[in-house]
Amino acid sequence: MTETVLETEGLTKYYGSTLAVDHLDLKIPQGCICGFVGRNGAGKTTAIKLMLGLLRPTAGSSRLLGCDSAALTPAIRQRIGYVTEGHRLFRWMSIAELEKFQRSFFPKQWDDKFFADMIEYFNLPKKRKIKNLSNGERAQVSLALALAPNPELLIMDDPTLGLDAAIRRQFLEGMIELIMRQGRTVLFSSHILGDVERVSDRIVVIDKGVLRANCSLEEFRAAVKKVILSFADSTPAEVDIEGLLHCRRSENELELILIGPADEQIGKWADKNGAEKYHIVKMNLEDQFIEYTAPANHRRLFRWEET
Amino acid sequence: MRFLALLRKELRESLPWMLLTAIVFLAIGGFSLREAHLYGMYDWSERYFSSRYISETYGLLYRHSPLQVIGPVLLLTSLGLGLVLGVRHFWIPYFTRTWPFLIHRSVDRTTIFWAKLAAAIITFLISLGAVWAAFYSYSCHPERFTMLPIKRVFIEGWLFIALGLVVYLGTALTGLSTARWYTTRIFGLAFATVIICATIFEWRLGWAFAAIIIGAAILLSQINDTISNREF
Amino acid sequence: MKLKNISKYAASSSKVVMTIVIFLFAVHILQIITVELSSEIYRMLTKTKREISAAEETKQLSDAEKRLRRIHLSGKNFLPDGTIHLTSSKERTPGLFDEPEKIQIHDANDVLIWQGPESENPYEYLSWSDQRSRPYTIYFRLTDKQMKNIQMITPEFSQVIEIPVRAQDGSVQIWRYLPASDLFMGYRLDGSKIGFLGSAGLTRSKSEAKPFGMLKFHSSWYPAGASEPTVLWQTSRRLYEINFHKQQVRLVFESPETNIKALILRDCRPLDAQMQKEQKIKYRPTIRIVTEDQKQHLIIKNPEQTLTITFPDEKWNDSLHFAATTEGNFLIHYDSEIRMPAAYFKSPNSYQQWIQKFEGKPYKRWVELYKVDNQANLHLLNRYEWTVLGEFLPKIQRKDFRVQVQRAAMAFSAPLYDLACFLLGPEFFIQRYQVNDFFSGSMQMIVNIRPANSLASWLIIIAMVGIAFLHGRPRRTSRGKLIFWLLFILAFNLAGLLTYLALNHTTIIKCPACGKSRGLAQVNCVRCGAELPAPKRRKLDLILNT
Repeated sequence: MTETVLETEGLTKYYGSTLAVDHLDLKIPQGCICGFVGRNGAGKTTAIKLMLGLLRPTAGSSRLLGCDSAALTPAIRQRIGYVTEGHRLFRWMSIAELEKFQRSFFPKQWDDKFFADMIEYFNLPKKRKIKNLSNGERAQVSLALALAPNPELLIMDDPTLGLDAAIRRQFLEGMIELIMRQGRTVLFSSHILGDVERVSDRIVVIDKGVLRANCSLEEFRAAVKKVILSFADSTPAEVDIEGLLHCRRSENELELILIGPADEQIGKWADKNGAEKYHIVKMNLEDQFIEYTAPANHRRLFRWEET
Repeated sequence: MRFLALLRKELRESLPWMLLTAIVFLAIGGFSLREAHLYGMYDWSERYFSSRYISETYGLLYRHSPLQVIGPVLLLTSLGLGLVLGVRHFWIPYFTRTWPFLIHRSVDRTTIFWAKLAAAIITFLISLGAVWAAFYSYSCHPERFTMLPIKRVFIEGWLFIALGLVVYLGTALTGLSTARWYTTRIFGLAFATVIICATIFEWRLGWAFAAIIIGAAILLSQINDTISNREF
Repeated sequence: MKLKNISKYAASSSKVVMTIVIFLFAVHILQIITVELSSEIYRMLTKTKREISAAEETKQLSDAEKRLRRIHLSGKNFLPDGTIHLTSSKERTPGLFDEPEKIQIHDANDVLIWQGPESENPYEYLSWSDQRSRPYTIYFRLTDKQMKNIQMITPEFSQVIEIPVRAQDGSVQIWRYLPASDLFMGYRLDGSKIGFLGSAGLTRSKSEAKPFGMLKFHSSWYPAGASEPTVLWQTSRRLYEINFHKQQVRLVFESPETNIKALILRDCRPLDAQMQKEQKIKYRPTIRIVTEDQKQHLIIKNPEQTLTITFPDEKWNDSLHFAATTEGNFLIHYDSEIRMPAAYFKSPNSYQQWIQKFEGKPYKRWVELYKVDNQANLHLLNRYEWTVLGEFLPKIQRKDFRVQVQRAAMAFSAPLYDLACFLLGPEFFIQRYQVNDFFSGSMQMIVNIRPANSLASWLIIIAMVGIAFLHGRPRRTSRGKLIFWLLFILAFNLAGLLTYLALNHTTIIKCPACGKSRGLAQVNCVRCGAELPAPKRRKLDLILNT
């Protein structure tokens, strides 16, 4: 039976009177690479900080590696790697000094060779101070510092934010390196669905603090569909197809966002309602995410969106 | 080992302020003390023995120690160092958003605070304490100052250094507080100011130290609780 | 776990202590500012009015009243035989700034007996200790308050008392007072120590020396022809004479029963002796010691004489002066009808009640000259009485808005002040910090500004408790906590409410279940008991915990 490394139950957080995270129930099994996605202000960073014990929940609980997040012991923290949002490190330290500092907290786990290899791979001089590094270089150092202690669980809060494509690719490759080690779990939040698609095997979608999806990436990709149906005359008044999330009408066309129905079911409905033709639009993960998290009755603002 | 790593890091961050304080105190204090010695400002002169002077003063004098000239410098640099170190240790991480990285170290949160406090104490001892002891030792020689050294003044100097630590704790509490500035956030610094007033207007050394110890204990207990439960 | 709970309780208690101290301080300052501001405004409003009324009053006096006014303002001077003269200044001729001051001398029947420049006055009167002019303005006095002041920790550090002495061999010795041990320590300029001077004299080591006792007052006594002062060192019960030149200590006086209240010297300095050469009346150096049992102890020199005089009334001590001359020992005493008897000192309102009897009415004053014999008995030589016009009495400002403002400010003070004054007595606060004007003033303010159990204060407190109750009810975590805070506000009034609000202003939201306000400290609503509801799940949410 796969062990659960991260578990939240009814996790709720209020900032003043604003609800940031609302009854988050989540279970992340060991060995999983979980992409934690949501729109801006959805509550991803808040949820991650709650899990790491950096914030106190208003209600509910969270457990990491079997330990209550509010009381994470130093021994548990040693097993968790954390890459902070924005890769905030001590600016006055050089890479070598930062390595020495980080190593003190992992006397037995620290992999000197791995860290040195990563720094060399990223082509970073060890004597350079953090304040003289670019965003991308800082992200690389941050990743190296998080991976060198060989953590069981790696949590990253928007790690590729502000990085160019090349650096992002290197960053993801570093992640894959960890993934290759057996039994390691990764939870990372991101706005870049391409990255999530590239490395994750599980997706968690949070919208306005509420959990909207927690399933494997394949299940998500398979479930979220966009169907465009054309009609000779007017479109049917009532759209009663199973799994309907959104429905947009134009003169003779219906654009439906569906969750879950099989392609045959769609075909049957089209025939039943007299559609001249229909086709299932191939969407990438980003499109699927946008449609999945779009509010009800969402209208397109720009005219070109309709074409 | 972890505590030492944290301590090294905090000391390194405090180093520029330690050096600056030591240089400023040494320069101003040393210059003033040397001037006092060279111009014989605290020496006994014949005019003290004239009958007119004796008549006017009823024969006695209120006398300051030669270290009088550096007392205000010591107090101000101590309070300033406390404020600056407090800002460096507790406010700057907030602005640079490095608190989450630091808090996620595999140590208790209070260990992080004790490392900062230890670094602050070492900074005070080196930059102010050692220099103050050197100045006092300089003033003890009869060739330099004919006035016998006043041991109480030496203790009062350490009192000023302790007040600097109280300001450090007050600044720390203000920096860690999550309240708004116009509510209770400033109370850490305000309370440190109250402790300073209670000490500076006191004539009994014991009570002055008691005020500092009680004030520091109140601030320490709150800092300990705040850093354990604060959200970063 | 236990240690964690202890530190948590210590932290929350210290937070409450810190916050209440700051708010008490802030409320205190606000009250002081309010009261002082009202006083300033009152002074500004009444200043012009006072000047005009004083000028108008003078114009309105009759000749008889002007005469009474002159008699009241004139100096009452006695000759050694007991004759009284009334001395008053004559107004200068307008425009003649170089004109010397002229005086007029009247006898007891108000007959003018002499007038002219003061320097040509043919009469020499008995002079009293307070009337003797000092040729120099700078002098160092040392009382217990000043001793504490010099030990005060200031940015320039504390001070020490040192007495420079030329020793018999001509070398310089410095004698430093050690307040912690109540001893003098002597040292030479090369840093070597001489010894310790205590009540038993000179000793080589500190442990052998006997302390003097806490200093109450210091002065100097100059034997004739001496160039070094002989210090008079007064403690609670004793007076020592310390001669540093000879390194000797002599006990001059010891009060057997009560503490020494005051020490007055006259004619003890070399300059006093010099001035005497030009005078007809020769004064003898005198130390006058007033003890708490209303006795006056006189130690007179040339020749040595000790007298102890007892007076029937405590207030005599404030209004008498003494002069020991070669022609005899004299005592002058002033008194008036309006002197308040001791019984009226019990409350601040007493003075108002007493003085109202004399408001606007003339009253009598008198001065008496006594001769003191060698058995310390008083023999009345002369008594002069005069009438004072009613307008000299300070007018009571009944319609004074300052009183209302002060009462209003006091209504916000902590009732705890009343309790503390009740248990410890107001004197505890006033005497506690006499050393320092800032603290003694603040302590005095606590005594002055306590609400004194006023109805307005209690009404305000009840209102504040109500505010806290309404504020706290939706936020409460436990009933005990809420009750604690309500009692806290009861004890500390405005400062307590501010503390409560500062430490308990947590967010409240509308309960989704019952729609009423609730806090977020507990999962369940304090009104309806419902938990925070979970969000409605969409049917289409892909939550598949595989």
